[in-house]
Amino acid sequence: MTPDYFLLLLTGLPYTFAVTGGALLIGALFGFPLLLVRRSKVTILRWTAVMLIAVIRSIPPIVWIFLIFFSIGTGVFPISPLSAALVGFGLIATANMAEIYRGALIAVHHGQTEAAQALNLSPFHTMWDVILPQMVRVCLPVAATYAIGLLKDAAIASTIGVPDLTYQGRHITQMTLQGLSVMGSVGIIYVLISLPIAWIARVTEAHIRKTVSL
Amino acid sequence: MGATWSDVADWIEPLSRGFVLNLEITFITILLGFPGGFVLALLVERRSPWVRWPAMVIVEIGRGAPALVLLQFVYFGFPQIDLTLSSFASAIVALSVSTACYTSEIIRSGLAAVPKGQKEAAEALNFSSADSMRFVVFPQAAKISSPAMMGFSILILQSTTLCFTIALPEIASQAYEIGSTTFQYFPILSLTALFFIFVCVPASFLVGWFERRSEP
Amino acid sequence: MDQAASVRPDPSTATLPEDVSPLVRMRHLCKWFGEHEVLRDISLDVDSGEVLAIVGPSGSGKSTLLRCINLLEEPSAGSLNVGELTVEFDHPVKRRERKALRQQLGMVFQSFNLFPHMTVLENICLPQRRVLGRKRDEAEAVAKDLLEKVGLTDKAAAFPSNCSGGQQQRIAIARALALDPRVMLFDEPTSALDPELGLEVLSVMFSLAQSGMTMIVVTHEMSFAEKVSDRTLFMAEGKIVEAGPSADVIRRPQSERARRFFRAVNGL
Repeated sequence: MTPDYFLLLLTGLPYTFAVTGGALLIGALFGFPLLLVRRSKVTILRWTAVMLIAVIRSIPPIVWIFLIFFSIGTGVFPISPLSAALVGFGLIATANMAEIYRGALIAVHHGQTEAAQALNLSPFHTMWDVILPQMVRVCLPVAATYAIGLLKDAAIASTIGVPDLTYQGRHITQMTLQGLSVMGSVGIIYVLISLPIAWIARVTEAHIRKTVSL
Repeated sequence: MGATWSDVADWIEPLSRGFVLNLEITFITILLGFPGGFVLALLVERRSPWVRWPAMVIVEIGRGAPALVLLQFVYFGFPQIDLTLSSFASAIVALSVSTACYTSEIIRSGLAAVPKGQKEAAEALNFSSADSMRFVVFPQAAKISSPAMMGFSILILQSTTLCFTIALPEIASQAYEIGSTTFQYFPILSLTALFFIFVCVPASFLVGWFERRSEP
Repeated sequence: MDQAASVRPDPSTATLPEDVSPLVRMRHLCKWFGEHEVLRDISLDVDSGEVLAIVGPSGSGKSTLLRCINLLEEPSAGSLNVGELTVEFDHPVKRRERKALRQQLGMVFQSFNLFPHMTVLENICLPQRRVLGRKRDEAEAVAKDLLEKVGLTDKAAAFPSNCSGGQQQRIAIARALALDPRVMLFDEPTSALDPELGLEVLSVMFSLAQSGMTMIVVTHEMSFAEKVSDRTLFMAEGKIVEAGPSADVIRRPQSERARRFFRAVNGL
């Protein structure tokens, strides 16, 4: 593979980051309200959230992306491949982040809530001062691990024409017929991107053991 | 415009045919990938750096690279060294490698979760290390890892749809094909989604139930 | 307590005469967990300045009784009175009632439950600021004063994870005291500690008792019950089986159930 092709490959990187980062942001944002509905005292709301999360997660990403891109895209208002990917992966990330938040909430020892109650902290301050800071710490390594998963799932955006790393790899493969080195390079680049995120996960995990009551 | 019920009835057959292919690939991938994961887990735990390091590199690459890229690497890349695999064989190879690398970490943490005292007790009873693994450690580790492994099996089924990109006539390819000829993308893709909802939603609840049950 | 000298007419009576008004008064308290009756018709008075020990086998309901006092568990029936406040359990407890009740009660847990993401000083200051609305300076002054009392001035800036179990429990006591409670509740405060570390906690509790604090202590430490508490309550199967001056209950239990328990505890 010539340097020219390698540079062409790298032009896909911003798209890979945009889809991954954008979807993660959407998920981190909307996942929290979804968690609150998931933990609602109203049974019907709670079950709606449970089913919604299960359904979103049970449909393969590629089907989601097609569903959004082709059915909405060919319908009333056209949607760009990048927007379709962001909506699709944002939706999936929302369901997954809600579950990650829920895991973190459960992981924080129930004694913490009791201690806050016994100290007469209001429900808001129990959440805000005691539970949430610990939840965020528990979340970080799990969310970092999930971000790596999302980075790799985001490669699926290439199937609807988002010109990301995988798309460029396939494009160059078709031009050069050198799939082994081209797709090999693409794979290695993904590994290299995920290494620092994995490192963050490992470091934060060691840190939380000290500052969270699990 | 709009699909009629008779259209839907016509689509069921090709979609089902595609879905059977997804299930077949999932089954073979589990059959090859899970034992592969166990072997990798043992290799990574070896003391010798000549064994440990290559195993770790394989696991990191297999986990770090997207399954989609692995698929295309095998399907489009192998012909470069005169090894042309069918799309079915490519799917099996790529997904099995990906599965082995992923599950090796699940199995490794399962092995690590078996209390040290169990190994020591087996050692004190003069078990060989193979017997200690076979009769004492592995059964307990398998029990600990099984909810995560079942959860991962659902993900394998979902990832078989990636074979769309290597021209395998599985369900996503079938749906895309019908969609591009009829332009009824929404109903055909929704129907495809239903296949997965019917299988994966109950399966994920089952896994959740197992998870809660296996908690101490 | 002059009760100590009196002859006990009924060993299972834990209430004072009606004309005396105690600081904590429970009447006919019951608690159900589904089908299971954990507390059966508990009536109990605790006088101001009194130290009451509650002992009994595990599952006897002693921790539940303590948790019912500050409504971590809500009693199913009966009434509870702390100071001027009375709560009847014929209706779900209102938030206002719960707040007013807990304002008078400090709680110390078996597992300390310090907030691990805050320093020791923040652990003691945050509740003061959030609940009592104290200014930061004021809260810190109170916290430092209390840390001195429990002998941990040097730990103010440390995180709980860098403190021993005994130190964490003394911090937890300081945190509860910072809110000026009238009654301190202790739920097996030394059970999670090595005997040596438990001792430093017990000595803090001892000086607290000396200073006249009203205390209700669920404990396994018979020596603490005997030496520090004015009265000991023996519970089994959700009922008060015996109550009276600590030495009497522990040394000369009247009922067969209590005799069996103390024999086992004392290894006789």
